[in-house]
Amino acid sequence: MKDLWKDIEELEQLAERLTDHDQILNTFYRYIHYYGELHINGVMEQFADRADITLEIGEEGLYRGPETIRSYFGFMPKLAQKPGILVYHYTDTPVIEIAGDGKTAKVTALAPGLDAAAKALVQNWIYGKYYVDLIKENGAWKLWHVQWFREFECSMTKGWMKEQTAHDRELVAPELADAYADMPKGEKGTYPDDWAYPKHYDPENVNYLLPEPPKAYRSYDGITATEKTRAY
Amino acid sequence: MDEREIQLRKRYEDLKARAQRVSDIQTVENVFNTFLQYYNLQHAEGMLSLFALDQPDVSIEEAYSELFEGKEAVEAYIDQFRRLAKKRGVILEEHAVCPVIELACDGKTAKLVCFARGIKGVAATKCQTYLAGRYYADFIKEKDGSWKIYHLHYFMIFDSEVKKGFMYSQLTDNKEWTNDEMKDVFTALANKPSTYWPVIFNPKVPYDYVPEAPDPYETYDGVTALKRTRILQHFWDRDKY
Repeated sequence: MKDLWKDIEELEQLAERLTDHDQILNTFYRYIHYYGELHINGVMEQFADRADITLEIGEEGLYRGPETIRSYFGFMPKLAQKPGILVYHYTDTPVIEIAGDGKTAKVTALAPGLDAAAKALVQNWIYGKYYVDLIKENGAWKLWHVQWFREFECSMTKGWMKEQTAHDRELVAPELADAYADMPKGEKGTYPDDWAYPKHYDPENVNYLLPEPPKAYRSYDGITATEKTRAY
Repeated sequence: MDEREIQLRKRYEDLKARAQRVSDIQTVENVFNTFLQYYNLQHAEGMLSLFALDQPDVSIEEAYSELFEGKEAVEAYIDQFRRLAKKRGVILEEHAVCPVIELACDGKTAKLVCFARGIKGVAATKCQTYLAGRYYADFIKEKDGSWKIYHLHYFMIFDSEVKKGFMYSQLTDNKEWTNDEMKDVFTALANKPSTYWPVIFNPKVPYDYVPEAPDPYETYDGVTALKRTRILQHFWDRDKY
């Protein structure tokens, strides 16, 4: 019987990793769903109850801690009350790596989407990628560090070769500006200095559209969102 | 071992086998998505690390590429992305959606079919297109327990200009790759003929749907990317395909 108990313990560990995998995706996808609903409480509930949570959104910069992040999402309830707003922002092709110690996980995913703002005559493609660290907190998986890499945002009629930063116009459109007026300025982001900041995809230059998919790891050793392993 | 212990051992073995199958399916999807993320980065080392290069018939076939079979051919095909990575204004992004994954009953191989929607931008010709297609992939479990891509086949449905849409534009005729700036990128020559010359969406004729989602199977018995259970008899030569 002794061997059987040992085998069962190993099986329990395998079962734990299988359920972790699905719970990790559910937490991340809940965040994405609530983001699209402009549901400020919903997005905040997906974050860990920790002082060191971070959010980095494209060129808006880096936000640290729950209060600052909530303040960033302050545009949501205002934007949600405007007519003709559509945020259809989803993810696919996720890569999930759970740490060997089972305490943290990393996810990268592609994030194509579109948005519309009727009053401002906005109908845009938004393409980007996510890098996310998650941490297991009292048995539940929560967002720890979230980084959104904007590839481009363009008018549907122009396409990504002709426009990459349509978001800039959206933020200052008179019909929408009040929703973004109180948005706090983020700290300088973690984008490498040699990137075409603030836009990401650049038709005039060679591009490297981070993040890379996460690699297997034993235990958490920091944010790896901008790690580059391509040797050329 | 008493009777109770024998029964418990049997139940344990059954649960372990079921859990292992779920784990394998999760891993296969993760490997495929990792491949696509590396593909989108033109990260050749990353892509190659996911192929079963020790299998003599490991292969890649993409749309019009014909068939690259064997380690050297697959490496030559992937190597083209090193050249692509150095070109200005390139964005090539494929997304995997709705994967269907079948793990063989013997647990040694798996099959995946998914939709692939994407975008492309090539500054040299100011080309910007919407891509639609499907992937078929066979996977094999290596001796160390890792899953690798065994056969990969991308089926293109259309590659349509953004300004026109897919009803009016289905192909670029490779203009973005054959101009002076880009013509040194996709130069690798396949070593086998295409298994399927792409049938591109054509508004004037019924569309030919391959690959179909894989069926459950016992043990690996070859590439089934072209297996059809729906036959458009008025359209296709059933014997040929």
